[in-house]
Amino acid sequence: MNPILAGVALAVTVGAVLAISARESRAGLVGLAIALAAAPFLAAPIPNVSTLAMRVIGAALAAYLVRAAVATGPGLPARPLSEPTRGGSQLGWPAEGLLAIGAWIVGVAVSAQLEVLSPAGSGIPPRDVFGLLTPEALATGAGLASIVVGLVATFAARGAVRTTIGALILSQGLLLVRIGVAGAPSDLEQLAGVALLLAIAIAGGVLLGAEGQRGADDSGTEASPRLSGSGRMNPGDR
Amino acid sequence: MSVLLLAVLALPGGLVTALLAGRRRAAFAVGLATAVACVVLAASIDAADTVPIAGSVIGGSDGLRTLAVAWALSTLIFGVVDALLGDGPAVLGPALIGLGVGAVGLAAADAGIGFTFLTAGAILAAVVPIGMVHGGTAAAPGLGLRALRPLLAAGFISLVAVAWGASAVGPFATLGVPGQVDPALANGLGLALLAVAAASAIRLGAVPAHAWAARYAEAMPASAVPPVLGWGAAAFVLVAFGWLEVTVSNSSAPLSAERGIIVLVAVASVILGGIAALVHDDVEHVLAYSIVQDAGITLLAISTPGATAAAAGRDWILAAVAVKSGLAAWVLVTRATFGSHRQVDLRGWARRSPILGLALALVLLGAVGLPGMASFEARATLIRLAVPGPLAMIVLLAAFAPVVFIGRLLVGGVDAMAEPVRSATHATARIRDFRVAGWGDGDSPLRAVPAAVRANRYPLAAVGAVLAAILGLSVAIGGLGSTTVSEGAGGYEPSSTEIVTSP
Repeated sequence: MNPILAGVALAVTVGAVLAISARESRAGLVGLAIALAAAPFLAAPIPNVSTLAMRVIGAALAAYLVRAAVATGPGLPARPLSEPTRGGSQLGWPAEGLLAIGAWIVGVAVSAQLEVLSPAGSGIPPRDVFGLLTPEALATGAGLASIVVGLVATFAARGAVRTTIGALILSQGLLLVRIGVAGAPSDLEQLAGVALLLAIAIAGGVLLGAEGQRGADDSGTEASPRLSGSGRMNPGDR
Repeated sequence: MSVLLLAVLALPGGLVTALLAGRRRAAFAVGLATAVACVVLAASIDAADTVPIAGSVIGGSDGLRTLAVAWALSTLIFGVVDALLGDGPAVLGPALIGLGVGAVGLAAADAGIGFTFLTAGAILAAVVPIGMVHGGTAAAPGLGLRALRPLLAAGFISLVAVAWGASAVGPFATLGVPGQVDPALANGLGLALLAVAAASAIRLGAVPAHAWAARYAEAMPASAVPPVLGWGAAAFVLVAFGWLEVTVSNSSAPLSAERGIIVLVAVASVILGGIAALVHDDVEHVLAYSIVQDAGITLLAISTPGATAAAAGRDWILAAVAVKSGLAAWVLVTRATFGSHRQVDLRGWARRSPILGLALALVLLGAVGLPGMASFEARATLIRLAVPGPLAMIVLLAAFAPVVFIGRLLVGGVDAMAEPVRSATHATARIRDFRVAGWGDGDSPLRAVPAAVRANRYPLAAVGAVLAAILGLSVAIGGLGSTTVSEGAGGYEPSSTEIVTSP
């Protein structure tokens, strides 16, 4: 087991769980940035510098696009006390974390089986847990965890923020699983992955802008209290 | 190299067009110039032109040239029509981006790269125009999310299948006895076939994943439909054909149950899509459900193993998309000209605008086809190969539903004029009595031309619809270097102009 790669895989997973479960959009964006920026390093061998730079810059740009769209839009309407939650996962981070751990176990097991079946593999399963954590297993585990936590947010969330963050986490997870089960991708495939992340971020930005315009229009007709970027109610709205 | 040049030109050109949307004239100038250049570059794609790039290969082919030329021409025609009709350049920029990304996705030798690029291009081509057309309305976010999710789902499902195919348990790594298939591999192949079929069904808008396509076509200008549900979806399916050919079709696993499920979905799409196009009153729904019906025929190609079905599928999807682009152009111009989209309000439209009548007649010819036309033979071949027994005749009859639903539009066009049509005097060309704007000598030819264009923008847009219909008919016939069809001893005989994708 490579401890640095294990740390990177852990960072990707923690970032994904944070991005999906955070109730404040800023915390979610921090998690998104961590997950997207760390994922390119989760490969063995590490891609060459230009490819790595392209992926990291692409990830940063994707996260920045979402952040810019969130920041320029009007605040979310304040949550009435009767509503349990507004932003973030309905399950909360402990449940999302457990789901991610479960996905990690499945991912590592799948990767171990693939290693046994691979023509280039040893054919003998490793004896201990650390032997299981090959670079491919780490990529598969982190990728599967990202897919599991991002799936519901992508396809069932109401707002554009959560859907966009979920779609980015899900896409990143899919690219990691691809690396884990099918080996290192070509540089062009990595460029395609960056293009996908940027397309999702741009689309999310457009939808967030549309939501913001609608919110601005709504605020002209009804005096609803607004939340500031931190999620707290503005003093003047109390 | 032409494919790369096309992408290098279309991406920034489309981006600048989209960013300049607030300055309409500048946006259209940049967008239309880019579209013209894309047509030229697409026409110069050479089958022998292979460029190694970034650890992979970008290669041209005759089929790619055909698709790229038709796609670029369609983008150009819709751009001109949008400019004439006074619609903002909301569609042209994203459509150019979709074209550039789609061309690279099709030219890439790896199916995973192709699916990824095409998903990215489709997301941009679908969602960005929603923000520009519906920005600020309550419908925009919901409409955008409903378009985004199916595109993501189709892309993700296909990428999972491709990742499995390239893994240690995929068909390329598993050594077996010739003529025999490992049961585990057969199960994997069946699931992969179902996954790619599901992704294609979602992407094309086939039943039961048709709702998003119908809503999108209903809510957006008709010019936004071909880049998303037409050319982009066709490119996605062509990559799927290529991947299935080298994975599933190469194996001797029968996969009867899986193919049966796909045929069931395909038949449902053909029949229900045809019925829905018949019963709906508004022309956008007719367009949307006719696309759903075409998707059903395409799924038949996915369900059927062998090179013949794959070649027929390629011919079909290309022709269907080109013809439905012509129908979309007719819908766009008709709605703008008469201010209505309900057939009851459009009675007599062809009498008021015979040019639009010609456009729809050409669309009808392309959609129904004649023996010897590539689309006609491809459709008949796919139904014969995929659908067993007497059901084939029912499906074939249902596939000819365009005779009725487009024919009904044509018959309504020569009926007595409804009020919106009667009052649309701008639908006919004005040769003399247009007014030259501005100061000075009104007889100056230089100033008379723009004035004449302004006065005749609806008839000129109708000419654009005719050009789109001619493009569709040409591709349906097998022109523009498309695959050729001959009913020789071997039946359907595809030429070698296929877009081949390696795993």
